[in-house]
Amino acid sequence: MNPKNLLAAALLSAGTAQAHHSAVMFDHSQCVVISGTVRAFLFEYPHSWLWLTVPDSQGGSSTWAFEFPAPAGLVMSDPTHWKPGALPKGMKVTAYAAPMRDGRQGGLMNSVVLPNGYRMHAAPDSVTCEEKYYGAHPGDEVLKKIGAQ
Amino acid sequence: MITRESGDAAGAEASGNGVPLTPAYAKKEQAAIASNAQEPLTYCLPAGPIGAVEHGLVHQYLFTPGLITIIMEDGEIRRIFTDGRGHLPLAQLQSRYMGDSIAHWEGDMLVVDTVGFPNGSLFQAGGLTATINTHLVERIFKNKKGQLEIDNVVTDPAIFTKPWKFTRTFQPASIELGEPGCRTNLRDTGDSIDLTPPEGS
Repeated sequence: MNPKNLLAAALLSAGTAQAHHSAVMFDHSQCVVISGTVRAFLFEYPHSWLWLTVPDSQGGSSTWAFEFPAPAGLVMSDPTHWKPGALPKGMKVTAYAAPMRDGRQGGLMNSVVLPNGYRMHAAPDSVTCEEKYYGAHPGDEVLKKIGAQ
Repeated sequence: MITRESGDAAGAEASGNGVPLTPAYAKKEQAAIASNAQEPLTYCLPAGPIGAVEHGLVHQYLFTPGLITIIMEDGEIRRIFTDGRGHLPLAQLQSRYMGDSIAHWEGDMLVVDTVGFPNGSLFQAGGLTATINTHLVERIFKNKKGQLEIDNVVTDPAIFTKPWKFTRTFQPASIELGEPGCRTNLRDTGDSIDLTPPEGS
């Protein structure tokens, strides 16, 4: 009859990192690699988001937007690195994502590579999108790379 | 703090792999999937007791005399009465998402009985909800690995040909219960999304 025997300490739980809406807007057969500077990062329910300022070849820049799982899903993938402020404004990162089908500059995030080379995965399986869609060791020629590398 | 570690037979993707749907409901489900029907949570509506924990919601259990309250990340609150009361008449539960939950302890196991959640989603995709006659029994206990384990049995003659049984397990999470952000971060509009950066960024 003791609730403490059900679970010790605080009883905070989380479910799996499942999308709460359709994902048909993303082209899951593609993997784009976008390098840029963090403009904003939201670590929140129902989806986390990252916006990058990405340089173009004409000396200008544009914004790319990426959707992530909710925090509960991200911390299941990497409990050490995913946290509020994990991607601070101004940080230079490289995003790997399934792009938007409609051609807009956005996508469903697979993973983010930090300046020190560490790769934060958005899904617990830790499978990179380039491995998933192009094979175990894809060459650079198959990846659509955008922004400063 | 605990986090979901694994589960089985839950979600629309699993419905063809063991969820004993009636032919009529299987047809309804396929039609919903084919039409890309959205579930309540997509529109920031409560998911219900089955759907809520299937969506990656952090949730926290609060124990008070006669009442267990589950606070969910999206703002949903589920109340489970442990004061010995019976169920409310179904006529009073016409528009419930969470239903009417009562529970008792069997040793260290909490047995929760829930009826009347006709707006609660049953599966991850497809937008399918429970009916007024859906009956959920959860046996919640701490397993040998120290995880929270929930054995679920769901019955409804309109939906299932036999009791639908599945188990979910949870483990400690490393994050705090967040504030409900669904309304402020509702960028999803069915089959599309709003890519606009936050104001001021």
